[in-house]
Amino acid sequence: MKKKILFLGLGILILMMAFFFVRNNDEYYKRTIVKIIGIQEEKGTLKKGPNGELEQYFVQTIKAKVTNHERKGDLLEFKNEYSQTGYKTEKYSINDRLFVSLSEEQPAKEVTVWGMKRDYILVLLIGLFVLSLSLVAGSRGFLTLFSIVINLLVFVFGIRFIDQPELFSKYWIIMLALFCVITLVFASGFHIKTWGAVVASLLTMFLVWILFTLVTTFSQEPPYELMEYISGPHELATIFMASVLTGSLGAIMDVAITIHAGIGELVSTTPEISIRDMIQSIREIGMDIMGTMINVLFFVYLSGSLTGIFIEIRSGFGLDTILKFDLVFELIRFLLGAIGIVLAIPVSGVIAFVLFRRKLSVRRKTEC
Amino acid sequence: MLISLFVILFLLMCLVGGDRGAKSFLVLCVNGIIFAGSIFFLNKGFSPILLIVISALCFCGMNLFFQNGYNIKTLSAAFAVMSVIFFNGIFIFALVKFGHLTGFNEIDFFEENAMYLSVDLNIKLFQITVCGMIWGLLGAICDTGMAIATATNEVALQHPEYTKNQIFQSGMSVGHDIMGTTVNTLFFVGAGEAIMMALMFYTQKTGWVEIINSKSFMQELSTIIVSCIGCMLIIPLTAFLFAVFFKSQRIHYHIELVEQRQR
Repeated sequence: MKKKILFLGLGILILMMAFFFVRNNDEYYKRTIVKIIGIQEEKGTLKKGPNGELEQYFVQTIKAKVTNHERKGDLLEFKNEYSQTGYKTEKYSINDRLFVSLSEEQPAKEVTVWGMKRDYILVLLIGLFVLSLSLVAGSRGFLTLFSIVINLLVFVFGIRFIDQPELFSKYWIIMLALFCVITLVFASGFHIKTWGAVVASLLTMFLVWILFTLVTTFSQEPPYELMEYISGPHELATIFMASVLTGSLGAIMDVAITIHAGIGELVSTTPEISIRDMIQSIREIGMDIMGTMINVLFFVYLSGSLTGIFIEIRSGFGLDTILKFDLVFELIRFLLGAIGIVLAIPVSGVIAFVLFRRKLSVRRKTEC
Repeated sequence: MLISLFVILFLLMCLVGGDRGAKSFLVLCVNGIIFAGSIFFLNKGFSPILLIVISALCFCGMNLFFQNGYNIKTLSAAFAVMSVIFFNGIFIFALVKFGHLTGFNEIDFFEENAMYLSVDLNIKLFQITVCGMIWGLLGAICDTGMAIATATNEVALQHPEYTKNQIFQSGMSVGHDIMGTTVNTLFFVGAGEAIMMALMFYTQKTGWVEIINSKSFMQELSTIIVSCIGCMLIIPLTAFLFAVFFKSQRIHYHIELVEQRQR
C-alpha cells in the first residue's frame, strides 16, 4: 500500500513536470507563438440561418504577447470573429497559445493565426492514461503499455509507404501479422494458444477481405471519390481496406485469444470431452463476448460522426444524403468489423480444435 | 452495398450464435434506434446533457438488463457505468473546453460538402461534442463493467465465506486480465482511423509538429484515450460496488421482491 502511494506520488510529479515543460516549450517551435493576455468582446451582427434561426456573431479584440524567438515580448492586438455555433470559427480565451505569422512592422499589424498549441493536452492525456493503467493493473498494465508502444513504432514505420499504394498494400499485410504477433505475445506469452490465435486472426482478416471484395464487385463500390478531396488521387480502395482491417484487428484478436484460452483450459481440465460438447462450449464463449464487442465498435465508430450528422441535418440535408456522404464509410468500417468479430468465432474454434486435438488423442492413448 | 453487408452480418450472427445471436442483433438494432432517436431529439432542441443521461439509461437497460436479467451483476455494472459517465463527463468537459476541440477539424474542411453547409445554425456545439465523446465511451465501459461483474459473481458464489475486501480483490484481479484486450481493441480502432488521417497529412505535407498540435489528431486521440481511461476507472468501481451489493441484505431482498413481482 505504501509502495503504491509512493508510486502514485512519483507518477503525478513526473506528469506535472512534463506538463509544465510542454506548456512552456515555445522556444523549440520554429513558428512564432503568441500567448493571449487580454480579450475584449463585443456583440457583432445577427445573421439568419436556413431555418429562420438567428445566429449571434461576436468580435473579440485580442491582446497577445509573443513568447519566442527574436520578437519575444512584443505586444500586439488583433481581431477575431466567431459565431455562437462556430464550427468553422474559433472562440479564443485567455492563456491560449496560438501559432501565428506576423507582418514585418513593429508592432505587427497583420496577424495570421495558423492554429492552436495543443501539445500540452497530448501530454496530459497520455500521462493520465499511463497513470490509470499502472494504478489499476500494476505490472500487467506496463506489459500492455509496452506492447502498445512497440505497435506504435511499427505503425509509424509502416505508414511511410502510404504514398506508394502498391508497396503499401504488400507492406501492410506484413504489418498486420506483426501487430498480431506483438500484441498476442505480450498478452499471453509464448504459448501454443498464442500462435493459434495469431493464425486465427489473420485467417479471419483474410475472409473479411474476400467478403468485402465480393460484395463490392457484385453491388456498387463505396463512393471513394468523396474521399479524394481529402487525400488526392491515391488508390483509395487499398488504403481504405487497410484502414478497415487494422481497425477491426483488435476486436478480432480479442475474440481469437479468448476462445483459444477457453478451449485450452477446457482440454486440460476435461480431456475426455466430446467434439459436440466442445463445439457447444466454443459457441457459448463466442456468444458471451460477441454482442458486447460489436456494441463497443458501434459506439466508438458512430459517435465520432455525431457532430457532422447533426450539422448536416440542421443544414437541411436529407437522411439519404447523410447516409451516402457522411456515414457510409463509418458504417462500412463498423459492419466489416462486426462481421470480423462474428467470423472469428468459428475460425478460431476450428483452429483451436486442430491445435488441441493432438493433445486430446495423446492423452487418451496414454490413459488407455 | 451497406444493405448487403448488413444482411450478411445478420445471417452470420444467426448462423454462429443461434437464438442468442439473433438477440444480440436485436440489441444492436435497438442501439441504432437509440442513436437515431437521440439525434432526432437533439434536433428538436432538447438539452444534450439531459439527453445523454436518458440515452445512457436506455442503453444500460437494453444491454445490461435485457440481455442479462435484473440481478446483482447487472445492477452493480449499471451503477458503475453511470458513475464513470459522470466522472469522465467532467473530464471530457474540461478537455473540450481547454483544448478547443469543438467544431470542424482540418479534415472536415476539405470534405466536399463542407462548403454547402450553413454556418448560422444556432447550435450548442460544445455540448454536442461532449455528448459525442461520452457516446463513444459507453460501449466500451458497458463491456468491461459487465465482464468484471460476471466473473466476480462466479468467484463470490464459489466462496461464500469471502469478505467484502476479498471480493473486491478478486474483482480487481479479473480486471487485470480483461483490461489489456479492451485497451488493444480501442488502440487498433484508433490506428485504423489514423491511416486515413495519415494519408491526408501526407498529401498535405504536414510536419510532425503540426500534426501533434492539430485538432483532428487531438479529437481522434482524445476519444480513444478517454474511452481507455473510462475502462480503467470502471474496473475498481464495479468490483467495489459488486462487493458492497453482494454483502448487503437489502439489495438481495430488493432483487427477490422484483423477481416475485415478475412472476
